[in-house]
Amino acid sequence: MTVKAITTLGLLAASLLGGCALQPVEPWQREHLAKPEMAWNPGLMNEGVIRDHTYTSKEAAVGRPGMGGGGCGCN
Amino acid sequence: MLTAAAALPAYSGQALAQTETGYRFSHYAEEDLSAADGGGVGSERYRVTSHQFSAVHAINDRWGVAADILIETMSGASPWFVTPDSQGRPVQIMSGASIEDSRNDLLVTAARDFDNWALAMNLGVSVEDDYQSLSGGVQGEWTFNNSQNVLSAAVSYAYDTLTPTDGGSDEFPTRIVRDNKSTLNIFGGVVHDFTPKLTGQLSMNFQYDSGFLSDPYKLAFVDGDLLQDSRPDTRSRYGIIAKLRYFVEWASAALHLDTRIYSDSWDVSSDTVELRWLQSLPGDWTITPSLRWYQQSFADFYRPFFNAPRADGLYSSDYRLSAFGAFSGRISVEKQLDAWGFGIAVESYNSDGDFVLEDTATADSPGNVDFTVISAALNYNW
Repeated sequence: MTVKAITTLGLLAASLLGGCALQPVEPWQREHLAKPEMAWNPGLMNEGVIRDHTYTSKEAAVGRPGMGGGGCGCN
Repeated sequence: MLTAAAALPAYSGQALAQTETGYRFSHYAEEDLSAADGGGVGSERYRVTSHQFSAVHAINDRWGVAADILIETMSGASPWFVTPDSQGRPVQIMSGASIEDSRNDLLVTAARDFDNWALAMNLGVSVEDDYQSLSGGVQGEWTFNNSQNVLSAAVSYAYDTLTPTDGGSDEFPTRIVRDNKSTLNIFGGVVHDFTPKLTGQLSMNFQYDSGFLSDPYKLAFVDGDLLQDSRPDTRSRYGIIAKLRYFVEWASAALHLDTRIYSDSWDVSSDTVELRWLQSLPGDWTITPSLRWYQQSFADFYRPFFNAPRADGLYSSDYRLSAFGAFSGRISVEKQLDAWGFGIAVESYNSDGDFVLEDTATADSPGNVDFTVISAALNYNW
């Protein structure tokens, strides 16, 4: 894990925690945030889940909840 | 409303129709091992064909259920062990194109909405000829601060049983006959809406694996002998994931940035960055190009081959524990037509020991994989 990566994420974390200092987003301002293309896991049929399964079987890292089990990946 | 399909914490997206069904076909194909990496002998590698079915049903305003079925067939050859050639360069030896297997996976989810709270539970089972997995999980999320923040948490557990083909046979006497492993995963995250066009998510993931964590089919070349792949029986894994979504109004598009840093008790650390551009087009079309970069360091007991025995008796020459980086490019096209949704996608993944920021030539693997995935999906809202 590089120092640069930790610093970057640290700054992002600080931004998230400090985000409350920004103007609050009112309910009537959520039009863009609610669009399908803004979803955390976009694409038909939760395609990110099966993509992560592929990456997890070829790489050493894991990074999604509930990724345990689900196949040997012995190849 | 949290629907069962979107039950994972902080992954819940837009509310769905009463019932949604879908099907996805995927074909995963690895590029052949080159003659240069195979000591003058090229080899076919692995292929996986997947059929994925899903159904989500909102019983009422509070309850939703979902079922996901995955049927996969796998075939081809996989990296077996690595030997030094006459110049001491690593040569990848493959298993031979003898693998034929299938995997059937079922996941069922139930979700309950409590105004600002939502809870979901899931149970899963996965069966292969040589591997069975049972898993379960609970997830919850709390929306607060005028819907500007979401806190989420999840715990999941899996218990897997390995019964390798030909384990303990005359041909493979050192291969295990049967063993188990378990996986405990704990996740927590927070979402914050920064502006009407920018939202972010920060989450942490901890996973503890225990049991038989080696690959029963792989061997390691140790001072002239071939020994079974042997890894520690526990592994603690930590990940921090940060995501940003920004709506680019002038382009009617969304820019996604996903990053992850990871480290574990096997001395592997990794970085991942993915950028996506979701472009909406007239006629309910969406086109999404994305780029992903990944790098990892090598496990402390990994080497392509070992010139001397290790005191701890741990050995692995599995390319997935080597130092490598990977670039991946993907493009998908989706179309909504009334209650129907259609999508196609293609991804090309290329990995290499040179795609890392810190060069570790001694820990490169000749078995690094390149692959292509094509997929097509359709769904229908009833």
